[in-house]
This record gives sequence, structure tokens and C-alpha cells, in this order.
Amino acid sequence: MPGPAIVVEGLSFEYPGLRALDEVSFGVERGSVTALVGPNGAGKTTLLRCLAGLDQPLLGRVEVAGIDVLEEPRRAHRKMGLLADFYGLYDALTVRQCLAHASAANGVPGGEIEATVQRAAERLEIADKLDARAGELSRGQRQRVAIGQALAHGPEVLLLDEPASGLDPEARVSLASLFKRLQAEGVTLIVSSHILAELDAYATHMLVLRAGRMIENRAVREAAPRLRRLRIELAEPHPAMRARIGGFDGAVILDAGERTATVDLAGGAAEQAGLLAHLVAGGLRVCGFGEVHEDLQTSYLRTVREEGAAR
Amino acid sequence: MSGLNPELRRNLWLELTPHRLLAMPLLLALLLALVYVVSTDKLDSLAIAAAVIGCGLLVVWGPRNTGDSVIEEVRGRTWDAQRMSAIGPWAMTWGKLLGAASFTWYGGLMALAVLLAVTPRGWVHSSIKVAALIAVAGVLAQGAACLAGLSAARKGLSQRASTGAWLVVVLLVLVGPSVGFLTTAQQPMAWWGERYDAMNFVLASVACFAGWAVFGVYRSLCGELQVRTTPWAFALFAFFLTAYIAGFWTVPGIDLALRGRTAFLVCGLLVCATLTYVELFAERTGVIVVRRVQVRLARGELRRALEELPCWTVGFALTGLFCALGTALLPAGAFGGVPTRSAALVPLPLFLLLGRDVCIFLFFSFARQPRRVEGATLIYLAVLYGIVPWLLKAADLNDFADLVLPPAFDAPGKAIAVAAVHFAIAAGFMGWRLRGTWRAAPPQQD
Repeated sequence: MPGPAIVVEGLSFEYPGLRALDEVSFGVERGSVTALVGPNGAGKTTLLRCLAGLDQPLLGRVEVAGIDVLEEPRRAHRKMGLLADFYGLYDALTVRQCLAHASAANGVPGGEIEATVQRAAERLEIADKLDARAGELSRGQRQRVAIGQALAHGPEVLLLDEPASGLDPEARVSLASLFKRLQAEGVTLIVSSHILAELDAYATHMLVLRAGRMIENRAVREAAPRLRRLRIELAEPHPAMRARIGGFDGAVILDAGERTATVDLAGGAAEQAGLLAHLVAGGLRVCGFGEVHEDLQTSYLRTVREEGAAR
Repeated sequence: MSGLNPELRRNLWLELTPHRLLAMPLLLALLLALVYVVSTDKLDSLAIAAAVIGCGLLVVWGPRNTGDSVIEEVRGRTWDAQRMSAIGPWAMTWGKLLGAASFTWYGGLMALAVLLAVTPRGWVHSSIKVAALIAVAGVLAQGAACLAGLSAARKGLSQRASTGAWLVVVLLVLVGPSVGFLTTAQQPMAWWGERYDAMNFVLASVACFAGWAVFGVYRSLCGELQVRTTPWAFALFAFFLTAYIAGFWTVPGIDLALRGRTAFLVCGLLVCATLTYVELFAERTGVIVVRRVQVRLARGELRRALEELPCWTVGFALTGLFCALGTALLPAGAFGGVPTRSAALVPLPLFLLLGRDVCIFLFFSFARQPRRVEGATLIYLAVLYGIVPWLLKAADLNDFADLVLPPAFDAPGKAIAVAAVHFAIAAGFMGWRLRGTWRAAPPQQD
């Protein structure tokens, strides 16, 4: 079984008079989308640059796809792509040339470059822009080209620093769907952003940095959830509600009255449909039955609050 | 072109557009036709014009392009992607040097072809040698400009200045007259006791230095592309430069063997000190560099510590080595008018003054937020080496002037004492600044 996509141990990075990262350690599961969040100056960009092997940390170890980034940075680069916060394109080149250069520069064999360019353009929905100069594109299109460049060599890990910054709402939605597609293809993503609502659409994990320290790294949404938290609401109170729910295999009641209940249910959509049918068959007039998510913003604020209280 | 070096191909896309490919020969043809029409000695004028155009394209325009090749990437935010690419340092070196200057080589080689075709009659040297000299001078200038650009990019100066521009001015001043002189020079050149044809010697010298410049770009790109290196190449270059310059040194009245050794020691001291200054100003130096070396040494990782070591430290150590050897071996008369017994003492105050200057630079670079380190250091050095001694001497206060600028050649013994005090004060300030910044501040609290 393959190990984690990223392993970081005791990572410390210093600027003159400032420890930007302080013994940060964490692991990232393969195929996950990790939201890297934290206030300004928390060390998010520094962490991404250390993961990418662009900046050398003072201490610590970084492993990406099983390769030690500090010992073999060039080999590790074959396994990862980076979209920096201020990404650049060669404005005088066409999109086709930009993608071809990125493919060739990242070791794609000569005979496969044209196909790689075509595939990237279709994947990123910029096939109609292949012969346009990069300098003539809109910000959203430029960003797609930049992501296409970062993905040209088929990396296992993609690092993105503020990818949605400056994008209009339509482009953001489109970006979120792209990230979901990449995740479905098995790419591991780490996305740093201030816009938690945007991350909420696709993040499976949340890594919180604060003042150079990691204060949280946990799953916010599993890729294949084993437990669903459900909120059940009846049109009219029913005294047997708790008993009826409790009688369904795999359901654990978190709280329940005569009209509303919160339940953790083991399993997936089939089990969820089964519970609904079980309640209706028992004569309960169900008017609300849905999965409850703690959104990323709430989760982040709760983490920060708890960390503050613990100090 | 799919099998071509990716960096070279990218540059060719940018530089050799169909319009430019067409415009360059047309423009050259027009210029040369104009010279041919207006001149009286048609072929000679055509040859001179072709040489000047070739020189202009390869030694002036080419370096501007190679100097800006990395700076433009940093400005355009594409450099990080290049640093993460699979392009190796050699491929990147050739891709940048040949690619960024490809348009100027396109025009330059056409101009040199005209020079070879017309074979001027009035020239002392063959047009083949002149063309070869212009070509290797182009490689040297382009390599040097690329090195300067890499250094500026590493120091974060890419937003402020184009290094190519000032370098071009320097090259114009230095290379221009040399090439003019060489087309007429007939006197052989003496080097390490042997006489060589001037043109052949200069051609070989420029080719050697061009090789070093390309190798320097390669080594610099190794650092950028995370290929670890130890600073042996810098030490090798210091010895090469020492041996090269020492070959011109002549000290009358001493037998040849001793002259060679003396020349090597004196040149070694001066060359290594100069290279220390150059690297000190060209490299990224600060408390973090010291911290990295310290961490590696503390963990017993000697090779990693060497890899982290800035080149100026190697230059400084070599200066110390030449100082020690000079103090032990330098004969009377090695420094011209210096008294016999004192000649061997001259290197020590020079080394101490270099140490003081390094400490001044480090004092500024060890600040928590270092700003204008180079400028501040240069001002202090101007004050210490020029303004204050000159003012004191003008006021007839020569003894006081000697306390500011130790008389290393006139009174080496006194100079050692004064320079040692200077060094101790500067080192004290540097240590104080380093201790203040050494312990990293606690992480920022938002």
C-alpha cells in the first residue's frame, strides 16, 4: 500500500530575527485535498516553498511521494507541481508554446509533447485558446494555463498558493470543479487560501498554521465517508422518534427530541435511504432529512478558538 | 524541434521571429552597402564596418540580452517554474547563453562572415583571428553579463536595475580599445618569461576567460537548480587568475625562479583579496547563511556545511594563506620601495584591512532587516580609504592620517598595529550585531 503523499517532520525555517516555521510536522494522505489555512504571516507560503524545494529550511525533513525533497530536490520535482501566488507566464508565447515548453522542461518525451499539450488544453477547457498569446488572456484563462503548466508532467502532488485570488465568481466555481476532477484522478492537492468558503467546496482536510506552528491537521470531509451526520426533522412531534431511530442498525443518536434529532449513521447513501424508509414505515412524517456539514470557516474558527483557550 | 534543449527552444521562439529573421540581414546589407558606397578604400572600410557591427552585436547587445535573461524571468515570475523544471544546469546554461543571444549571434555571425569574405589588406592580423577574437569576446561578455544577472536576481535586485546596461558600458570601455589595439599591435607579449605573438596570446586568453565565464554561469545555475556544489571551482579560478596575472609581473634585479615565486605570492594576495570583495558584494550573505553553516557543523555534516559556504569565505581564507606564505617567503624588494626587512610584513596589514572591511559588510548584512548593505559598506570604505585620510593629510596631520589609513607599504610594522585595532573594532561591532540577531525572534503573533 503506498505511503502518504507528503510527510513533513520538524520543519523549521528562519528569516533574520524571525522563525517563520517552527518545528512543523504533518502528513498528507494520497488523493486528499488539504486546505492550508491561517492568518497573514502564518508561514503558509514559506511552507509551500519548502515543500516545493524552492527554499531550504534550516532544519527538518520533507518527503513528497516517497522522495526526500531536501536530499533529492530535482527528483522530487518530477512528482510535484506548484502554482505560486504570483504565477508567471511567458506573455509573448502562445498558450500552445507555453504548455509545450512546460512539458519539455519537465521531461515529457519529445514525441508526446503535442498530445500532452492537447490533453492539458482539453482538461483545462482552453483548447480554443491554444494559438492565443498568453499576454492576451483573461486572468482566469491565464490561471488555467499556469495550472496546465504545473500539471504538464503528470505530478502526483499539486501545491497551490492562493489559486482563486483575483478570480471572478464564475472562474472560482470552475476552479473548484477542476480541483474535484484532479482529486478524482488521484492527484493530491494542497491549497493555501484566505477564502475559506471557496475551499469548503473541495477540501477534504484542513491544516491550520498560526505564527509558524501547526495547530491542526485533520479531515474535514472524507473522500469516501464512513459516517454521515444527519439532521432529521418531523412535520409533527412523535413520541417514538428516538426509539424508531435507535432501532435502525448503524444509527447512533447524538441528540433527539420528539420532533428533531441528530444522528451519526455508518455507511453511505444506501444506508441513508434505508433509514429514511425505516422512519416513514414507522409512521413518522419526515419533512427534513439531510446531511449536516460543519463548514470550513466554522471548523477553522473553532480550531483557532480551542487553540487560544488551550494556551 | 521537439528534441531541442527546451530552454534554447523557448528562447528561439522569443528571439527568432520571422520578422526579425528577415529584418536583420536586410538591415546589415543596408548598413554595409552604405559604408561601401561612401568610403574610398572600399574593402577595408567594409571589413572595419563588419567588425564593428559584429562587435556591437556580440559584445554589446548580446550581453544585454543574456544579462537580462534571468532578471526578466524573476520579474515575470517564471523563474520558480524553471527552477523546478527537469532542465539540468548545463542545458540551462547553453539554453540561456545561446538562446537569449541567438538573435545577436544570427546578425553577428553574418557580419563576421562578411569580414572573412572581404579579407582586408591593410591589417596586421588575419581577419580569421579578428573574427575569432570578436566571437570569443562575445562569449566572454555574454557569460559575464549572465553571471551578473544571476547575482542580481539572487540578491533581489531584479526589480531595481538591469545589470546588462552597466556591464555593457564597462565592456565598451575595456574591450573596445583592446580590439582596436590588437588589429595593429605587432609587439610580442612576454608571459612567464616566454614571448608570444600578441594576437595569439590575447585570443587564447579571451578564449580561456570565456570558458571560465561559461563555467561560472553553469556553477551559478547549479545553485539555482538545487544541484549542490562545494566551492572548489572558485578556489581553482583564484589560482588560475593568480597564475595568469603573475605571468606579466616583472621585478628587476631578482633571478627568474625567485621572481616567479614572488610574483605568484604577491598576485595571489591581491587577486584573492579582490575576489573576496567581488564575491562579498555579489553573493547573498546574512545571518541566515551563518546560521545554516553553524547548524550543519553542529550536526557534523561537513560536506553540507561546505556546500552552504559562500565563495567569499574561500577567497578570504586563500588571502590568509597567501598572507602567511608571503610573510614567510617574500624577499626584499618584493614591494619596490619597501625596506628590505619589512617587505615580508606588508601582507599582514593588507589582510587585516580586508578582514575589517568584511566585518563592516557583515555588520550591515547581519541586521534583522538588512537594507542597502552594499551602499552603506561602500560609503564607509570611501570614508576610511579616501575622504578622512585625504582631509587629514591636507591639514598636514599625517600621523593621524596613518591611524585611519595604515601605511602598509611605507611602515608595515606600524600598519600592522593600526590595522589590527581597526579589525578588532569592526569585528567587535559585527559580533555584537550577530548576537543580537542570532537568536531568532519568537514567531510573529497576529
